[in-house]
Amino acid sequence: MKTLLLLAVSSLAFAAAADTQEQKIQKRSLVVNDRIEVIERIDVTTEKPLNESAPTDPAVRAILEELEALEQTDQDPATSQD
Amino acid sequence: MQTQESKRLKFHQHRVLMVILSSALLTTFSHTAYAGYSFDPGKDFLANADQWPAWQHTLKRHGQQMAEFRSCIPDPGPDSQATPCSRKHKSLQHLLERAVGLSGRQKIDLVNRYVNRYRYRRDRPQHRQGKVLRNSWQTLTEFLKRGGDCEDYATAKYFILREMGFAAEDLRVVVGWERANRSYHALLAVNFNGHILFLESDNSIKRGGYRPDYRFTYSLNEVGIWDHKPVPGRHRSM
Repeated sequence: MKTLLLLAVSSLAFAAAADTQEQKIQKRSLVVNDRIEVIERIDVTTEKPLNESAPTDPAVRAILEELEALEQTDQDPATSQD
Repeated sequence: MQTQESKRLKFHQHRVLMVILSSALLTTFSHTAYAGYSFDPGKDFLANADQWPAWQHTLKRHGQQMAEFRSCIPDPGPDSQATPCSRKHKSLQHLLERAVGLSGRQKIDLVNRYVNRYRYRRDRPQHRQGKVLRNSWQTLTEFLKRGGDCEDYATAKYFILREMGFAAEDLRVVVGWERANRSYHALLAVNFNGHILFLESDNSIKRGGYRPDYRFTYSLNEVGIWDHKPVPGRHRSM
């Protein structure tokens, strides 16, 4: 009888603990969603002029020159020289 | 005898003082150099990347566009049924092919400079479910076509370095507040050979910490989102 009672009490305790865990997950999910909504609204816009004198590896410079030559005929306005 | 003893004592005092001073300096400088940013996946972890629908949507679009990119042919013959590559995709193909022989550090420099050549273009505010969203995450293909603003530069660098074989865990698009410009700025952080490199949109690459007036706000990659703003009682493990 005592064992049965003990079992019942522990099952109840386990169920209560499980609920708390579920509540914790729900709470956490709400915090995450709220925070994502906040960071989603941040306006990220900082334009910086190119620093042409920043050091470059010669091999890298050579490839960039190749790419520029390749794109010479490209009329797509997205490529800028600024 | 007494003078010699006092000299020895002074010498020992100096030695102890020097040891304390040098270890204090070492602690301060090593902290300053690396306090700026941490790639520890558990530190400031907010959620898995799929919790941000807009970012997830961009990753999905990027996957579809890269599948098209991989199947296109640069110069198909007139009778060919193959899809010809766009000019931007041809340029990207050339970049990826030429980068094969470079070292990791050279690849990072190349990608930084390649992306920074593109036109700076501000996002138009978007309205979704009654909310104003000032940022939209562009895919690499969209950026190559239209240009973009700083978060688009950072994500374009992220996507190209991923194509070059860098692990997602070593790359993060980082957004922070720049006090000097009074604006939010995004850049790409790369965890490379035990050092953190910040790829700037002005062609510079900063190693270790970032500018002291910059406050990291959040970061993301294909794996997760990290929130660097302290929130009391926040769950901190991954």
